[in-house]
Amino acid sequence: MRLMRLAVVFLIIVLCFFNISYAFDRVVILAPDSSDIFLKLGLESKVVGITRHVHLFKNAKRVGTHLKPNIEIIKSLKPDLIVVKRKKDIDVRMFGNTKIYTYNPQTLDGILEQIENISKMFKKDRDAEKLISKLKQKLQLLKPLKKHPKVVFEVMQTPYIAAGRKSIVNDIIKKAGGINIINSNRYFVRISNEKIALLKPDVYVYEVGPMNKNPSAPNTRALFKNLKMKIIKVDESKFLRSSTVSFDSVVYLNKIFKEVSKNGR
Amino acid sequence: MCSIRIDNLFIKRGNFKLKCEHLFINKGEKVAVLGENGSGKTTFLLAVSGNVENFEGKIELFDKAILSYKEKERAKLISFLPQFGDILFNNTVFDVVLLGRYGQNNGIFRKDDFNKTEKMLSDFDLMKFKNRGFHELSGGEKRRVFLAKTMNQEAVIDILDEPFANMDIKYSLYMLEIMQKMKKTTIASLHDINIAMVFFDRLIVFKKGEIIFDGPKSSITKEVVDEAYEVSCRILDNRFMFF
Amino acid sequence: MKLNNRISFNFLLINLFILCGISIFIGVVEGSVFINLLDMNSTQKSIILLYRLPRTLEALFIGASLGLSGSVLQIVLKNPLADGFTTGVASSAAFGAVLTICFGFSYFFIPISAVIFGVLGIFAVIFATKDTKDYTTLILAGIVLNIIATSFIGFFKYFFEESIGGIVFWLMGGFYNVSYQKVFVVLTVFVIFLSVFFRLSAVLDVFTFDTLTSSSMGINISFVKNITYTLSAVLVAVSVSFSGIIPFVGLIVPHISRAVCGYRSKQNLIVSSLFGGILAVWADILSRTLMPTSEELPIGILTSIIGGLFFFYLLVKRKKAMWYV
Repeated sequence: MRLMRLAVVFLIIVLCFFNISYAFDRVVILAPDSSDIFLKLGLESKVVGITRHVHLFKNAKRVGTHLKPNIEIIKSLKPDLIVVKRKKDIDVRMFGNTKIYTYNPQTLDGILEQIENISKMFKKDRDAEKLISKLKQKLQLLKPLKKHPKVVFEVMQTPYIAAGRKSIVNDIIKKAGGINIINSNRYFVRISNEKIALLKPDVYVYEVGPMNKNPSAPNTRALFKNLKMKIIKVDESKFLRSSTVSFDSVVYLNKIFKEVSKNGR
Repeated sequence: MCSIRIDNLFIKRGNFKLKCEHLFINKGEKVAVLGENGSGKTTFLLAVSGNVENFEGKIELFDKAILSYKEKERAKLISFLPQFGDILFNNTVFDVVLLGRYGQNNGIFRKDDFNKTEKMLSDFDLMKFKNRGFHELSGGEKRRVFLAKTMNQEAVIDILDEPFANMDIKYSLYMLEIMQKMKKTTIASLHDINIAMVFFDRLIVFKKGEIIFDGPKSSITKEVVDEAYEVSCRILDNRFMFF
Repeated sequence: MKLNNRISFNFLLINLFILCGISIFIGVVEGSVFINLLDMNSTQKSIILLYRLPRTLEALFIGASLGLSGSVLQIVLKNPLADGFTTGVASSAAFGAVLTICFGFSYFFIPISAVIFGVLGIFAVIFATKDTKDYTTLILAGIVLNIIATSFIGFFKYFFEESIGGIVFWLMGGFYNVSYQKVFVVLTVFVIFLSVFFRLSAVLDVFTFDTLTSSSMGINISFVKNITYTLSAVLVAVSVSFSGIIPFVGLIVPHISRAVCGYRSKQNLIVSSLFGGILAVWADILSRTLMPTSEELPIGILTSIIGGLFFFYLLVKRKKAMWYV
């Protein structure tokens, strides 16, 4: 009996050892947000497949888009790891022996956690530690605010969509010292312009990017024309993507919030 | 004065050919166009009403090529009742007859137009249908409405293709009497030769796209009628009896 | 209840204008946030004056334009199913708009591109059918154009998947980004076209006769057909360019109008415009207020539901008064 127990423990230890010792070598990234972490961890050479809009990896093959990945190309790349945003993005049955890893953090802490997890898969713990401490340092430099400004983040002008509580933007705003006035517990929230006008945000952030190709400036729109609010135009890739850039966005917003609260709005 | 003048007319529509060397129709003449089915009556009427665009030869209306008229000018000279006249909507009978006056006034209807339409309706015994929808009427009643509309156009020449189709004998005679009173140039295709014998002056008989008789009604013979309809008829009291 | 004499038509007209006024008032008062008209702060005032009022007016005039164009198109094409969509114009205009959305031009260019592509579509249809006098061919050409344009839209939806929210929402129609300039443009266009069609109303009446009859009554069939078809299609293109695709208004409103006031074009054009405007205003009111979460519904969904149900009712109950073929 005792021997038996010992044997099991030994087996577990060995198994763990093997598991840890195995480092992935061929990665297909279907979650575009995660690609920046792979780059920062020095895993450029491991990435063999990437979605259409990511241009960070020169040697990686294009495998369609994250909504419509090309299974044939992915198969032909023989990956041992596929990073997806949601499990349903890819037909798992087609990739029996390949590890499917989900990357979809919507908070800054979540991003740090993901960095740690990814680094473990590639035995890059050192680089991860460095990266994490660098990112945490950025947050420590944030200036505390006396007054927390009310913020709204426009994702899309028509149909009007604002960032909700579940979105990464919400955490970016929170960490920067602001309050997201949309308190719906979703990623994106459709809401009427009238409501926004009545909520009177102090800071109005609108993004420009594929989702909001050419929005008109909010202060030229009928409903927002007369509102006294600070209007900021930002890049979609810096705010709606959960990556290391999100930390810089916090710093950026914090600076603006500081000014706004200083001006006593 | 010639109202309509035809020279060396030749029309080809599919397998059907219509020939007509010379023909004049004078002012005030009442012409009946006769012939069996498919003999060319309708094609002839379409041609003289300016509704055939491809033909050889000449068709002149008051000494001018018929196709050189604009629709509006032509509508003042010729009022045409096609064989199958129809209207899209269920317009009231009054409106249908009133619209006949479009050619006269460009669609700006005045008191005069309304009065004339009322008169036309009562002449054609249509007052009781005045506010009824056109499509609620029977086939013969519809025909009567279209005839009234055609007359209401007040053109110089009336060209009527089978004006009495589906109409009962009472109203056919009634219509014919009205038309006789109007003393206008009329060209009408008819099925009943005896109606032509009483109410028209001149007969044109078609057979396989060619005119086999053209002259005053008094000169038509049993042989012509037999050839035209491919039957054998008897003449009785200046009428043709077929059976 | 067919109204034939002048007095009852005037009565109908007065009622419709009153209904119109009430609809505008409700359109201004109702919205996703409650506003007490007697006690407003400056933000609420700007919501009413700068947002809801122009928006309601835009809905009114766009709806009126769609009703007007449908009324004319059903006569010109001699078909009860004719409207901006069976003619393919709406879809090709929509394609023009989708192009500008996908390539990220500013919202200012959407109407321009939509009108250009709509007019190109009209020319394509006219060019393809220039040798025929048959109305069914025009409709068929329109349907083909519709299919082609829809496929192109489908391709752009597929290829620019990030913009899909914007494209789809735009395709389902609605009145966004309102301004008084837009209202002014839409109103001007509507008034110009209404007066042109009004002048042509007798011609349109004559046009409802069969081809032989109407041409001998004094109208040039192919000229009238081309000019009225082109004008009404341009009107559809302009409406689509401002508000996206709002289905059913152009199709159903002329039928309602004929069922209520008879068949004289002169009266039908006005009544169709009024009904179209009122239907669009109500669809817009519902689109802004129906969802409890205060998000807006695309207006196309609502016009289709309202229009479809009402149309169904008419088909079952009042078929005779609508169409006789």
